[in-house]
Amino acid sequence: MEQKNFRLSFVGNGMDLFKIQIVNFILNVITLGLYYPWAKATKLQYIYSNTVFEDHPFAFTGTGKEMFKGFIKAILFIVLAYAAFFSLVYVQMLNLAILLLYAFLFLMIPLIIHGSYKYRMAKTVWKGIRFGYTGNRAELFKLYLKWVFLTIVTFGIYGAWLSMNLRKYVVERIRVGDANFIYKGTGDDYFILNLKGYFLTLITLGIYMFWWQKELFEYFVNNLELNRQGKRIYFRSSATGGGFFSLLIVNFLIIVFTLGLGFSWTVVRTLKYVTENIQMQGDLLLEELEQAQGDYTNATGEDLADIFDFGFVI
Amino acid sequence: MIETTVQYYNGKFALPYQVRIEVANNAIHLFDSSYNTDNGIAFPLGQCHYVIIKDQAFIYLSNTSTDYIVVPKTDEHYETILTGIKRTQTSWYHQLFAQKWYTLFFIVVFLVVFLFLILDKIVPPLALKFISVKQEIALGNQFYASFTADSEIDSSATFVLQKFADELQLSKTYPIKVTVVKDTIVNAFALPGGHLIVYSGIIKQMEKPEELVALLSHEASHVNKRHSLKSIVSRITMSLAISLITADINGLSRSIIENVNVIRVLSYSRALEKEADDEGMNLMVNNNINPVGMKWLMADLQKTGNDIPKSISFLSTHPLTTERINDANGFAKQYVGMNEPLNNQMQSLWLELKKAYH
Repeated sequence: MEQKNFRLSFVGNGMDLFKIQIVNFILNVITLGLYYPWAKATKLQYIYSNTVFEDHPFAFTGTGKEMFKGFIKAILFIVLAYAAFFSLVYVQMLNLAILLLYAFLFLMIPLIIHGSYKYRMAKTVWKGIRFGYTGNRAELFKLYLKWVFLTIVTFGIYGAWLSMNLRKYVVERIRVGDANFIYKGTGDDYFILNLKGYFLTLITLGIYMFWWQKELFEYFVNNLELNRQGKRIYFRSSATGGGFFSLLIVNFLIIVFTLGLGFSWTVVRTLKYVTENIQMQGDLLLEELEQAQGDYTNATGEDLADIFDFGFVI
Repeated sequence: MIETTVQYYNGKFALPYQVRIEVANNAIHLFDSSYNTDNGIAFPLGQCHYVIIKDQAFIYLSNTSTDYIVVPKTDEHYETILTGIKRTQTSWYHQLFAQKWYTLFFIVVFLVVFLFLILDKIVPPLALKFISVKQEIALGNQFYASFTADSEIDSSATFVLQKFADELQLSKTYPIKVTVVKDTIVNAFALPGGHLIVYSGIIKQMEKPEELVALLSHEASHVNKRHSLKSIVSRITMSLAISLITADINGLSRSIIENVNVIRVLSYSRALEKEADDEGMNLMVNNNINPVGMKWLMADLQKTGNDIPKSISFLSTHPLTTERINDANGFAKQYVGMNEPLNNQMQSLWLELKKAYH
């Protein structure tokens, strides 16, 4: 079977992104923050449409209106939770209130992951083909409880398996039309990787951190495959520790010397570095992809993820 | 009518079809071998959007972005389509985005200044109007309860100092309740609604009863002028505003803005101190007590302030600037002839207090 290389790149620039942020800032101030969902939509649209795979840009089709509805629901939800919390505090049941609040926040995590992936994937389009997330909320919830229970009884050691199980669950339920992702990472490898990274970082007074970062990235990318009817695209990282070192150090310097105004340039640099260092090869014929995933417009999970400040990639 | 051939992705398969296009009546018309109509299928430019990658425009034909055509720069319709779509983009976002950099910069500066003025000068006084004296006292009582929960109160000194304060007319609106807390901190402060907290450390530093009157007058003026309530309201509105408008900004810019706010709060509180000095001295005069006590208080605190670690001192957050002392001095000069001694009751209460903290 003929093997082919696939090209991925980010072609945006810091100046354009900065202008978008400035305009968003103005509109946010004028609307006292209510513009936030629209601001987010324009920013994501810019980032997606400047990410180019095989000469075709991605598209983010989520809208401010959808995310605004989710935003309102998410806020109502949080307000209710805090109202419950403070009424318990008011009747002098502080300990119970704190316990319930933590339990609540913690039980929210799998629901937020489910909701945000469901929305974000349905809004990601390439060559007219929608991505999709086919995970089951109840199933993820039960699995998550089980993994967290194991993490607690092993005093956190199981955390590595929790991360990988969760990643595997989520990634393997992402579809691109009628193709699906496969993730081969396991908790054992991940545990050893982190143990090694942790100690070497300590020994080298933090310098190894960049190489640890490179290995984490590599572990994610190299274990990823895209599959359609047995034909695959394999992903390989070409990132280096030195590469991560100069990326992160320069980003840090940009932020410090521009008092944060240069943030857009650091986003662009990071996206360029990441996309340039994912190599893809395989026999999957992208021209054969078919539209198979439906649209999904409920952004509540996406907005909750924002409010709790979740990073998107797990 | 010009017809050209471009690639069309239909949103069902990831492979292109060759289609012919025409632009007319603010719409892109697509002619596909499968569309056997004379006008093709029309896509109004108003529902299209585009992205330019290298020398190609990706023209999305609907807001689902699943069907699009790829128009190369060399295509005859390229400019027509792009300008046509741009003309339909009339949202605030697009209009702002089309502005020059200096216009945007000007708008940002204007908005920041405008917002600051509204939140700093207009919202707090308005909010204060809606909070009644009764609510303020209730709020102060709550603060007082949580404050006293973890401080050691000297109840006998509190009793004596309360009697001392009752000899003075400190407030027309608020019940002034003093509390002495056993602590070496040289400080005193006022809570909303009338609670004054006085640390034993500051009583120890004072040499004359007039200084105690000055201190109580100063703190009572904070209460009368609703200073703590003002600071609370101003701090809440500002931090709310900051978190709203920086929702989309990264951590560092946010922390810079927040730190600027801390400096603002500090200078604001210094302005309040100045006002409390002036009002306090007026209160002293109204009580027939020579305001020179304020100057003595400041001089004593300044003189002995050196022994005390700066970080815990009343002087570090509200330094006794030369300006404050000069002001007190100037004020006192108008009352040089005023020689009313404190009444006997106050004199003996003062001695009793000083006996406890010699």
